[in-house]
Amino acid sequence: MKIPTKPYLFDTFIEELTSIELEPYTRLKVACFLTSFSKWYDEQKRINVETVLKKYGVNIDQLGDIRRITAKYFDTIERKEKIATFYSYLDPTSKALVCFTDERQEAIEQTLENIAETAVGFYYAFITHKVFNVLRKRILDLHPDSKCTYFSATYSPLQSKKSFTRPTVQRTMVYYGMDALETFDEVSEYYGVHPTVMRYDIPDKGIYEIHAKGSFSLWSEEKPSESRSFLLSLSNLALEDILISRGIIESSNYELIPVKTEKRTFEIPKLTPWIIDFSHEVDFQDAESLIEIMSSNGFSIFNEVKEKGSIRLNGMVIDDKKHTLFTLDMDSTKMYVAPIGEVSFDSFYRFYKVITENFDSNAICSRFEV
Amino acid sequence: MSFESFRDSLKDEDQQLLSAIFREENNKKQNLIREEIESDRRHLEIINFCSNLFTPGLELDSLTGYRLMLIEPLCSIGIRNFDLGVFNDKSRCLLLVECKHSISRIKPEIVELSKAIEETNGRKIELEDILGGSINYIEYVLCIPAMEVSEVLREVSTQSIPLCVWGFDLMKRELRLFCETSDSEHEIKSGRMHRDGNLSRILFRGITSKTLVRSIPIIPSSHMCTLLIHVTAHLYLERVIQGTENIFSYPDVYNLILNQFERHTYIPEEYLKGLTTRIIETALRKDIMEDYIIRNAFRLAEVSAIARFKKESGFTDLSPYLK
Repeated sequence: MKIPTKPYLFDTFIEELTSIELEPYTRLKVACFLTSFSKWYDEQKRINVETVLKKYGVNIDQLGDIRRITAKYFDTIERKEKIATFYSYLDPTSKALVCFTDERQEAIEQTLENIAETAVGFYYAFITHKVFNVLRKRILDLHPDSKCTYFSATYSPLQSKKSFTRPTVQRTMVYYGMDALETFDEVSEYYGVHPTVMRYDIPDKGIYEIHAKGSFSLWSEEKPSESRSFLLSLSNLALEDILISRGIIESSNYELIPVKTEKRTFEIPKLTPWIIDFSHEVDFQDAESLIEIMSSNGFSIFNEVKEKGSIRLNGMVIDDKKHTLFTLDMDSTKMYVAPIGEVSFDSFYRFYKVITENFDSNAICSRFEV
Repeated sequence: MSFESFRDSLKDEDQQLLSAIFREENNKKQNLIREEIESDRRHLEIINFCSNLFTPGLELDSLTGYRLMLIEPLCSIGIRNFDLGVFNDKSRCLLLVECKHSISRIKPEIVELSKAIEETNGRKIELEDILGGSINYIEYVLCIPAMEVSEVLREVSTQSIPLCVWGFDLMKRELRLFCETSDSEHEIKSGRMHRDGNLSRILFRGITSKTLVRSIPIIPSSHMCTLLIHVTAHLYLERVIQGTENIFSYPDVYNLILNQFERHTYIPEEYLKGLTTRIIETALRKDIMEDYIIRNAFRLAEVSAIARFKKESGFTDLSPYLK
């Protein structure tokens, strides 16, 4: 992407982005991330987005409000190492990092998405089944003649809601056709799959592809300026919903309440959890599957209690990737998750992603009401 | 002489008998240790259930003024009973709560508790020192599964013990106060109902705790295995976050458990030092629980296998092994 090197405000950058000519065989993409940072560099803070990214070998150049981020990746078609370039904006209010690029999907996966797996205070804006549905409704409301023409969807036998057809088989489905939406509804019912990629053909706008890891790709554009603006509005729409989930997760808290007597002060921990509401009742076998899912995704549960019958699972959890400690308590309808000490939102968001991606794709998060 | 050398010194036939006994005993001991760990975790679950209810600032605190203040308050004076100290600042009443996830032998357990109550009453001054304030009166509470309450109440009444009985139902996440008779004056006088009418009323109706999240992940008397796993997890995280090598020293473990416990009880330095030493001696390694179970069951099985072997084989000369 040939973006002239000069200082930009966000608006002037968007003007530039929507008017430049893209190189042949490239597609404009927006990859969205959630961060703990409202500034690129804040000397008051121990950890900054710049220091976090640089730790992973990323190079950052300032272009006013925009940063040009470059990172190495391995191009599997050309079989050689290349440099991927992203133009990124860190929104100070929502703390979302929005990265624009014309690199291939694998470049995003190998660089920023890969960093998001382990970096502190940084995670991709994971799109749950619910958010896919929000986007679907919005697209069809605004443009009723739109067609979903492609989807990719997966099913795991560990999911709590089993597929009607051969529930023990792990599967990925890829479908091309003008009736992809109808087909998806049918197969999600019978084969238990949930979406990982969906592509929409929107008349007068273009073809848009949405990836579960929070990236949006413009496959073909009718009018560059309008088509690209719509790409941005799609990503904004998803972010709006994702930020609601983030707010819920961030409502959880760990506090030590000082209680005083004449001569002593004790500190009693007060935990405020956030909740994952399952879309249906789960049983003891599901709780066992959940432990397996957690373990294979870098969450180790320890000192746990498991109870059959009324189903109870509670214990402590270590996030092996984000290096945090939290506690959970689950019954047949919901799971309470509470921090032990300071737990940044990205660890919990990663946990939420693991649950919705592998256990209950229709689970939603909610606040704890005392 | 080691167990193995002793076995090798036997005739083939006896060797086979002893090996078979040992295998059986080893399995038994492994299961026993697993049960102890499971029991410890369930005990911790109940402690957290109760402590979450009495967390300062939450419903029960604002309605009654009773708030959690101490965990294992009597640990420092050598009394092993009572997991929680719940204090009311105005009435200066201290509730000492013993949590049990089940009671297998009612009579001896109630007798043991009765002795602990008597001893605690005689050491009120030390308890005031631990609390850091004066105590007007102490009420003792036993918190057990609701379905075991009636039998326990009968025994408490028979033995005339001043003990309030709370019953929990983890399915409903509910805690309730139970009394044997409706004569509240008599029940209060005998120490089996709370003097605070408001607290009694609320607990009679029942109060629910929505979650069993672990606000108290370990207590000083937790099973060594529970402690080890917790300490290992913390040490691992601290080292990864600090980017230091995966090595630790005695003060790291000491400070870790000190920080965990000193917030809500007074623990003597000697006790903490002893605990730290035991944790380090047991060492930190992968799959610590399995490792702990196998090693300890092996040791215990050796002893009981010899005793059974003696009985079943008629073998009398165990002096070389016993030496």
